[in-house]
Amino acid sequence: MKISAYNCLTSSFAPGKHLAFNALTGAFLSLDHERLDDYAALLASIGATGCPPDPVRPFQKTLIENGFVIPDECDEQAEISNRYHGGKAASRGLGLTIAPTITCNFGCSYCFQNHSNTRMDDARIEDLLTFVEARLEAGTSLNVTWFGGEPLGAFDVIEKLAPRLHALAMERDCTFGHSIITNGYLLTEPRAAFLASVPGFGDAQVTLDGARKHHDVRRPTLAGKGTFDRILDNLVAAARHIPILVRVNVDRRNIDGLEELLDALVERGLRNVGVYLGHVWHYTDEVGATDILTKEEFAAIETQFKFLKFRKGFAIGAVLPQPKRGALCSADSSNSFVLGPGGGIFNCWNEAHQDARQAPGRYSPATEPQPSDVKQQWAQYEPSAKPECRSCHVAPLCMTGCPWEAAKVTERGDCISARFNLADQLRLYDLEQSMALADKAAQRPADAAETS
Amino acid sequence: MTERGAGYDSKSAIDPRDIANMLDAMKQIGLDISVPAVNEEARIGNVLYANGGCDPHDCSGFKPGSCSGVTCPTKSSACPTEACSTKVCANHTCQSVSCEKVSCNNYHHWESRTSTHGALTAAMSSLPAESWSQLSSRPLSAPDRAT
Repeated sequence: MKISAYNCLTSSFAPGKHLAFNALTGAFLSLDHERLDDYAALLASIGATGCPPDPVRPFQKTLIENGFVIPDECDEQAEISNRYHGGKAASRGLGLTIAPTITCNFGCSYCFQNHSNTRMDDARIEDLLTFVEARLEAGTSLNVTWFGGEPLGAFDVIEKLAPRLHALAMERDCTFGHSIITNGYLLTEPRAAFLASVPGFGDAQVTLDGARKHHDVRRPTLAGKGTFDRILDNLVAAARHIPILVRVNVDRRNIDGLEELLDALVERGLRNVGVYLGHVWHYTDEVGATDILTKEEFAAIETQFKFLKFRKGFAIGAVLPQPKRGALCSADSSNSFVLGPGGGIFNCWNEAHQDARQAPGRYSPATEPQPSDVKQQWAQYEPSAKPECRSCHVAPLCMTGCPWEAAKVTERGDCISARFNLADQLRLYDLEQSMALADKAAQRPADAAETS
Repeated sequence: MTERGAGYDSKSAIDPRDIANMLDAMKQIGLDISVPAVNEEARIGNVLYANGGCDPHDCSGFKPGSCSGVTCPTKSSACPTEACSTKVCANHTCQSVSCEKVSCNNYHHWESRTSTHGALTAAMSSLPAESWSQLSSRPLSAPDRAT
């Protein structure tokens, strides 16, 4: 036997407790001193003799079953590649990112788009529905992300499309889900209520870039007016109808306003919204920001922000890192499409603002090339081809990350935070789970009293 | 030996002083998180979302027997073929895993802040603001308390 290349062993926040994670199997185990000794003995024995100790202790058996130690013939690199290609081939559901318009009412300093006044007209709406009718396989799923520009700038398009897409999914016995990415300025309560009225609504992702002093400079209206207060007012009203996810795009200039933002959310009764950090990055030439954090710096800030959220009474939102399977995003997925307002089909969100004439495909059924041709660019994508990724301890979690960014570099992929902060992610997950377990333990005596 | 062995990661971006503050607050409310246990429900929930997708309101679509693309949590999938794995999925279909174990409220933590967390937040907020560190992009080099 041999030791997996994807083990991570670390201490938890609690003294004397350790955490073991395998990035290929996704197994997560907590260890006291006795289990830690078992872990050490198993790995030492495998390292020295290629065999587990005799007899194998129960926890060592658990470690073997969860892939911390694997048979010699196991090829973990091949498994990563198999998961990618196998998952892609097995995927049946249809994923759509729909931009009802590319127009935006904001002038953000770091925007990756070049806005035009293109807006989806009724003819394109019918074309889009025809496209979905032709592509949606019965018994699968239809997931829609409303995107832009600012999608609420063409709210009437969403009003027309959302119920019809839902109805089509129901006709085909498909599950339906939709969510929206919006700057929040036009997210009025009636609009939130409408989104909630179409079944399957997930959440509205709204960006607030930290404290008002930062946000208003970074995300003003086109006329240069601040937007923080109006967005916050909208969130309070919208949260009565739909789940809200606040995204905070960070670079060096707004880190010091993150705590103030959390305080502002608490003050407005929004402690239950999800809040997460986005990394301002040079995705396209349009991005104007210059104070960009490195990947490692962002990973550090992300960790500290999660802890700050925990301290302020927000849920961390810590999830156990998960091994990937199948396509990485809409770009390399064979049945996910970015549909622009002018009839263009794109692969990546970073392309949605482009003119339909630049698009690799069109969703008007009468127009070539067909959607299968659109996907040719990414059809041969191979996540295991990057040399540095082959020796990376989190490769099963990321598979090179964003293919758009990974294509810019030969040696490595677009590294995810876990490459730098996996141990902290495990500690934070364990911390939040410990809270849940403590609650359960507290409930148990009450349950027992009720049943006795 | 283990801690110097393959895969040991002691780095943290969180100031040890902040952790010490938190542990003190835990003592105040009588909370002990050193018990080596994993919330199995949450763990299974995570594994079920093998693609990394996690839409809190898609849970309704996940019923026993309709878990296409889902990984059985009891399968050790370290091997390219099941034949070389000692723990394969043969007797563990999606139906037996039961997707209903995925609870939106359990999985999407921001919707399920626990009462224990609430008590801990109150204890931590009683400390003066200056006793907590500020966010910074310092390298991940803080010493690991536990080693």
